[in-house]
Amino acid sequence: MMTTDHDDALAADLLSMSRRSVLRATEAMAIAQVAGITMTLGTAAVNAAATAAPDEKPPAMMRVRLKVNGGSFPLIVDMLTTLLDALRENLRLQGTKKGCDQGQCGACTVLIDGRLPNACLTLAVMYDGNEITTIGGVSKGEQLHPMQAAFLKHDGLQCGIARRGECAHRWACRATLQKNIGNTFTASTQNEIRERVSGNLCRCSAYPKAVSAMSEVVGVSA
Amino acid sequence: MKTFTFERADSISAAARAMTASPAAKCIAGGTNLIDLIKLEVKTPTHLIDINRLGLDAR
Repeated sequence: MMTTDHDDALAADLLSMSRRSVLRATEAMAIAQVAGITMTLGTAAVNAAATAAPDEKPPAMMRVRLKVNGGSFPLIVDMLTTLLDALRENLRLQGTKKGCDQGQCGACTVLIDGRLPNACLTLAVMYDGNEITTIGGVSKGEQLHPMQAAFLKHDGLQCGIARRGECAHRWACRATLQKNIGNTFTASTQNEIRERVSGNLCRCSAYPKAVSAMSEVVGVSA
Repeated sequence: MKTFTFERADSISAAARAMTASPAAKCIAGGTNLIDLIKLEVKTPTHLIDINRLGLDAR
């Protein structure tokens, strides 16, 4: 297929931007965000302010207190801020991953009052005062939760980029949290385990080893 | 997303009143799929009523 001059120029621009320079730019943006006053504003508000039509009202702000992993954090968020954005962007608790942001992948699973909602499909203002546990709150200091340790032992992740790995989090999150709230995460067969974590998708397809890890913790033999 | 106002209903009758008071209001519980649809501006409620604390859970 023939490409236009415009396409060629665009391709040249993209090629000239090395991976390192992209990372540097991303890092600079993150630092700017930490330093700036946008900390207390939801990202949705910032985006909305930039793109809103002149006659649109800015989103209303609301005070909330998020109780996360034993801490209590007063925040001012706009109505549009999802719980996931509040955790990641406002509180900088980035263990909870944003995978699809559409409620399909389960990477943002958190524990709230014994339930495991996708944080991307809930609003921060809905959880004022609720006890929230994220993947960052399941280990005791340096001591990993048994489920996390099992994931390491069984190599139950692939894209992992070690600690930041999305796969590990999305699997470990749901499994670990369910284990944490008593015996909710019990299963008598590996098929049952697969069914229970069927809401956690993994693009690396590290499912067999993840299931091995979970099997060991809940005492199911292969 | 289009902005909206938010309230947490503390009784079923309060939720019902809020629903009738504002025609473009929506109730929200789990968030699936309302938040999805709000993000895409398929749904554009002007008011959200949180019914999570009304004891309506099945369990």
